[in-house]
Amino acid sequence: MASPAAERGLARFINIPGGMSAEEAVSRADANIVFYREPAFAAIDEALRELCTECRREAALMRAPHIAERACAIVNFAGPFKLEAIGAAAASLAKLAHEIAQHGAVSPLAVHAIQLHVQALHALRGAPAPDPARDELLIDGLVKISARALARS
Amino acid sequence: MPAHDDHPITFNFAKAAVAMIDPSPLCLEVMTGILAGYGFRKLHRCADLPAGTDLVKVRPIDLILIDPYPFGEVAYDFVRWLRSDQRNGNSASPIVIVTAQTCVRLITAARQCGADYVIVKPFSTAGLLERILWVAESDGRRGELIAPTDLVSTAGSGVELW
Repeated sequence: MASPAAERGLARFINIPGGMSAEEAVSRADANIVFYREPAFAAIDEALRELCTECRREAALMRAPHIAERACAIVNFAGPFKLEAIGAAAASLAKLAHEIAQHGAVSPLAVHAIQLHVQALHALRGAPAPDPARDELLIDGLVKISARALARS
Repeated sequence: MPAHDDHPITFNFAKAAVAMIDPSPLCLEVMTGILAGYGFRKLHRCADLPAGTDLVKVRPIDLILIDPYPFGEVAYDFVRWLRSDQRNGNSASPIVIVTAQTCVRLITAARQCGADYVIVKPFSTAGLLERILWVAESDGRRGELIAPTDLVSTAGSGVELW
């Protein structure tokens, strides 16, 4: 059986000898995951391919839970590898697809919203460099179309 | 970062044990790399809830990170079970939900099951550390879900949790 509950939590590891700073920790974390960059990007691309396939289905055959799960797979890796816009777009799609899955039916507007998200993800993934102003507009647009699609479902 | 400008926070997580529960092997590898960078050396990876259950029964754990979405409702059952098992020394360990799904229903489920915090994906390596340090400094505030009060659109989109 594990030791007493009083010896749990992280507070006792703060400001003790041998500590590192946040800056050093982040630098080390970033260095540690460089090795996983290629497989993470491959996982993102695979998820995106599956989303594109899903978008080609008829609305009645579109699998919202699967779309949500694939979008989450993109979100998982976008953050640590500094793909901010891709992460935000995928998170928006994950939420949209999850809400649609809860309601059961995929409306025409919801289909359109999903397709726009996937097109945006494809464009962001293929962009040569981030463009913060463009990306912010894009994400804002996706959030708005999601809200409209869900309001009418 | 949760630090005073004159005295930056330092930490030494070498003796802290963290459990990560996620079905994706690559996610677990990436998370392991990140947490190892923060200084954690006792890293326990669990690909499913039975593995997580077995782990917390036998190992002292100082932080549990779990993404409940891949597992469904049973993930919240796991948290509920751990909180209720007073014989288990880990019953009061900090449990952090790490998720991309922030709709009202799921945040409510996180609150009701006994989780302490919600960290929203996607997060950067700097962002995750900031949240973990916040968890560490909030150790005294246990038993309530810590999240901003200005939740949450019913559409479940555009929510800015931390």
